[in-house]
Amino acid sequence: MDKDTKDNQVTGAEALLLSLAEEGVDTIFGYPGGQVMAVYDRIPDHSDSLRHVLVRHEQGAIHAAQGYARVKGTPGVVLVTSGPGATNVITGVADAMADSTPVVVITGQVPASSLGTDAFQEADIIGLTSPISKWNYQIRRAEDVAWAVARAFHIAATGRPGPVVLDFTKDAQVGLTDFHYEKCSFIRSYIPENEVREEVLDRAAAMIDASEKPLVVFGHGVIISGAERELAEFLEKGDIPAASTLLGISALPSDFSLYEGMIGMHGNIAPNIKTNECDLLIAVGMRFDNRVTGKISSYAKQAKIIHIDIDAAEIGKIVPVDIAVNSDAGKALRALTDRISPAKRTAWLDSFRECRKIEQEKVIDPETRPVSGAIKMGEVVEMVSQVTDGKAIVVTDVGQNQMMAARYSRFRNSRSLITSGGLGTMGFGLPAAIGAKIAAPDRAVCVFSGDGGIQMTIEELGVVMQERTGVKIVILNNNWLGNVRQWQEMFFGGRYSATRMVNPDYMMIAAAYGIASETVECREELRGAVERMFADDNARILVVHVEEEGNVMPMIPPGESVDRIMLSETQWYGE
Amino acid sequence: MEDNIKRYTVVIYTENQIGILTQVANIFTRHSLNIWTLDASASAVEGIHTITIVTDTSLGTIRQVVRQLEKKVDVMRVFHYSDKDIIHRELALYKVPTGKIIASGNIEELLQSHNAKIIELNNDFTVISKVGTTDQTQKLYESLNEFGVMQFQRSGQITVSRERQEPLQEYLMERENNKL
Repeated sequence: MDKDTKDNQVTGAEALLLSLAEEGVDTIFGYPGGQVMAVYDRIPDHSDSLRHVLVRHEQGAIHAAQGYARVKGTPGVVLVTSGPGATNVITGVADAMADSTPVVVITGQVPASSLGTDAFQEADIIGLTSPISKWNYQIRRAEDVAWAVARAFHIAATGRPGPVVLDFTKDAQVGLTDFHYEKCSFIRSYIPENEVREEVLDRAAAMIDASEKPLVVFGHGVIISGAERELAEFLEKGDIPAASTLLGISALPSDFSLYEGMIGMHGNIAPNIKTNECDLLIAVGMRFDNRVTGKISSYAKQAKIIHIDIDAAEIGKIVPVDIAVNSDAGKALRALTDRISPAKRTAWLDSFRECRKIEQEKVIDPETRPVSGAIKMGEVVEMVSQVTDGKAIVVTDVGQNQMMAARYSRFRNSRSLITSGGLGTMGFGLPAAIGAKIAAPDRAVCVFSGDGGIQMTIEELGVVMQERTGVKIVILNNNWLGNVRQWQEMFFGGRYSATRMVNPDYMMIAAAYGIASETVECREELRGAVERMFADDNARILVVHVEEEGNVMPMIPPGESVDRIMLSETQWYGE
Repeated sequence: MEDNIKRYTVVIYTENQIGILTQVANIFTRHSLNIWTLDASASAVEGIHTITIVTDTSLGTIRQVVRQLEKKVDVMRVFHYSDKDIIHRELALYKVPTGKIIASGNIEELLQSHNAKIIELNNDFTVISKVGTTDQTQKLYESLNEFGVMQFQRSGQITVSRERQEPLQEYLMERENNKL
């Protein structure tokens, strides 16, 4: 090779970083190791435009990238080594797949010549991630880097977003190649979204106009599509009440007049009850998860169903539909708003009031405004909402903390609840909050975690310390694995098996990482502690000793229909 | 209802990518579907592969499988057929002892009646081939087994639809237009 040719060429590792720059990547969450050192070797030369966040465990990297992606709407990027580095991100890949989160994961891999030989730190990451990623590809030649990265970003971010894995062999990292980058916008075997026929939209609009009692249930698809305003306009023109799935929360402001809260197992009573009373259910960018539908054989049987979803494989998967609108949520909502007649559905809307009143009295007030007894989880969430005026990005772990945060947080802006919905990954909260804060440094980011979940990825406090990430960490400490304990209490005769936790002193842990912390044990201290937490720009940990055996209510027990709702451990709604 | 279990042939057109068979098989596995036969080969269009899978399931499940297969980035189109919608065949090879079939005296008649033929013959064994449905190849197996079949193998089923044209052509033309 003569000198000139060599000067025009770059290594595969360099080509990767140049490609990421072409895609506008400003942050990588990663962890170095043997088979990705050539890539790491190039990172310092790109440090003016690319921030590398060194996590403490690869699972932290992918959850941080997910938090980042969910707040920003663009793919989060993960860089890890082969073998254990790669297998450690797998939970996050599955999580991102379930929650339609655009993530590009780059894993190092042994040299192509060693593939299949059980070489040191070799794992078949293509095989392992095949069923849980939107796409994966093994880069075995330096000249394929630009092509593969362009394709990866196109696939991760378009249509129904999801995780993409690029497995990058060591010889491809060190091999030389010419570099030309061309963004990908067309793959012949991949149709990210379909055009909807006018006739389908006309029929849907006619069905909506003919409905006296329509109900909209919307999900993450509205946020992904950026269709928040389109949804609000559609609802206002049709005077249609709407409720959100867990992942759709914050698409509408909490005080939006037609917003009826969350559906599902721990959702609000009104939209769950009304699901089985409406005459038309309009599902927008949601997938009828079993935590939403309860018993499927008695779910909205009386209603006609219009299902708007960008993913054809979701339509008719769980619930048979009358009209399928296989489309981007925003486009479908715009087209429907144009077509429907303005309406007033006052009587139908008024009928929600009774459910709301009962929930307020029986569940919400006792949970968020108790006057005696131990601190309630909902009370802490309510306090954070008050102090932040609903402007914070709320991140949750999984379990009771998550349900309480979803139920009682108030939001003014979209993309403000970041939570692991489909996979329900404990340990998601802290690293996702780090990613969210890095994506939105000017916004308050508050993660609610339980004493169980926080310990699954507590090592990421090291990132908070090193990167000075000003996340607010609220540990709702009840010394139990609360959600499982609640199920053991309610459905397993109170036999508590492996749910009692003996916990460390979180303030000592905070101190070890140089993070300011407070512990609150009584109600009078709560407001002051929350105010101090948000008055500080730095990271803070707030440990709140909450009621030990508090339960999340209301609850549709597993296997029950959406209108069979428990208000407490002993009382059913309507009885 | 859709719970009726029937035989379906799924024809999958894919890009020629490493690992595509795993991706396809994963989706059948997720639905606990047994794959009765499988064939993978180049299609009429250069660079595009066809995978043909035969399975027994309900219409509801097969529709879901088709949609989930089509969702895979490297999968182009997927079609599912009932037996009546397709013409399908498999190839079977039978190895039988030469001495015994000559001694029987009626081998030619037998092969003729099964529309099978001898493709290799030596002192030790004879290899017979037959193209047909599974039932037909099975019947010949049973007849030949009177001589003691030494080895028997059948291929996966391959299929053409009763439609006039290869359905993929339309798709490819549409996609090429989309690109412009």
